[in-house]
Amino acid sequence: MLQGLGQESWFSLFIFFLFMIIMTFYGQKIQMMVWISEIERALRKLRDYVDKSKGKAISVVKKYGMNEKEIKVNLENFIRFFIISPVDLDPAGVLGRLEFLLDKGKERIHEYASILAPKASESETDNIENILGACIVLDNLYRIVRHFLLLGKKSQSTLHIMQVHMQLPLIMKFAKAYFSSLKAFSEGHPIGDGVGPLVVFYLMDGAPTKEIAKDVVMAEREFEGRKLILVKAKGPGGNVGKPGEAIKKIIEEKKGEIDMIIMIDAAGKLEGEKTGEIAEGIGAAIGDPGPEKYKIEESARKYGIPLNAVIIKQSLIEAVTTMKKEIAEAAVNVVEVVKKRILENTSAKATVLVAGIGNSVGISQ
Amino acid sequence: MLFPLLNDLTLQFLLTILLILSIIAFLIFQLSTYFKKKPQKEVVITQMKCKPCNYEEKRNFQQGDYVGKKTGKCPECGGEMIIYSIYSELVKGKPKPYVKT
Ligand SMILES: [Zn+2]
Repeated sequence: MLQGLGQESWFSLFIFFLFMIIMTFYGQKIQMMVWISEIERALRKLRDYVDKSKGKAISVVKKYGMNEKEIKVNLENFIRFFIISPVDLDPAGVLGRLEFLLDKGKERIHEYASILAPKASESETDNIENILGACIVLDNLYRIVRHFLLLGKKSQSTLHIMQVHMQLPLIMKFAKAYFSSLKAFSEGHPIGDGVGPLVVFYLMDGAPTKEIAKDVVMAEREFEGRKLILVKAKGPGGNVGKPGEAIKKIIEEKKGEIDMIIMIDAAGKLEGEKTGEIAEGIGAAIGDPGPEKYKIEESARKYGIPLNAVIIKQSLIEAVTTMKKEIAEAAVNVVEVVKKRILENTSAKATVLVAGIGNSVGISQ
Repeated sequence: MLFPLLNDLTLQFLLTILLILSIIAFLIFQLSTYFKKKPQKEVVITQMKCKPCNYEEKRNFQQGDYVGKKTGKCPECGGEMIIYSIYSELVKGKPKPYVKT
């Protein structure tokens, strides 16, 4: 069959087999090179995010007195801040310890924000805290990706390169979300996550408020014969506060004489779902690491108070950037949903606790 | 009998043409997706409302605005205007960079 081949055919046959041999023995190496170059590109983008976020932090903080050089030195020191998660080998009381560490972490960030911007007002300090938080996350992401890239290159291990490459789209999405959040916090725009506090702001309708727990305010109002207790994070600075602590305190103060709890929060949407979609359910609608959620569930269970949840769907990036029009419109509709739920599920003279969970940047009370 | 056929000059010529055409088609496809994205600009709107008479006003966001801030008297009834909503909208135009450096 091969008898009739001329010289040129032999040559193409040779090239073909050479190609096969290279692909068989070096295919994976070539694949690695492609992956590494893609990771390097992502890393350059992350570096860019880190530099720009630091630049943004400096330009925001500069307004409050400290000179640029001092800010840079302080920022470099602080950006490597970390919190070590508590040991969970012996899970008893782990939530208490986690809460303690998170509180202390928050306090430290607050201290740093007040050192960097001593002349800033309370709500401005809150926003600076959020900006610092985003800088820390971005810097951390950059370091982790760089670590695995260098480790993979050094050890020539496909495992390390592959695991970063496979998670790259998710990591970059996360980084982009945090990077984009800087704009909202530096200018004081409400963010998508603030839809809970926004709904409660509408429900409060100008009623007088008082601070009940750290960075959480409450107001009382009459609605169709029912008594509404409204809880939200204190604005217009970027606060999440401790809503669980507040709800627990209110329930204890009223000795459990609350007929219903409604929690309103932003929730991650699935791909294909529309932004601003409203859904109702049961449970504590709060996305904290655990301590706040636990307090709410535990106090509701203790007195057998029905726990209702209303969520407003949005993507991660929408949750941390300036509130989209669809979400702002959904907030108005949620007010009606909450009112309907109260009228349908409680009788006159009932007491209903409504809590709007989320970051209150750009939303006062 | 693939390899002897490759000897045929016309076939090689055709294959080369085919290769070039597919590269061009690929490039056109890439460029078309690049140009299809219409530039959009994000604008942040502040919406104000008068509670007694429901009069509404909209303007661009200004530094210091927040939901619940009192912005003055209502031109219709003299009641108090407060910022009711702040949101971002996409309009046609060149995108604004997120961070100025
Ligand atoms: Zn009016």
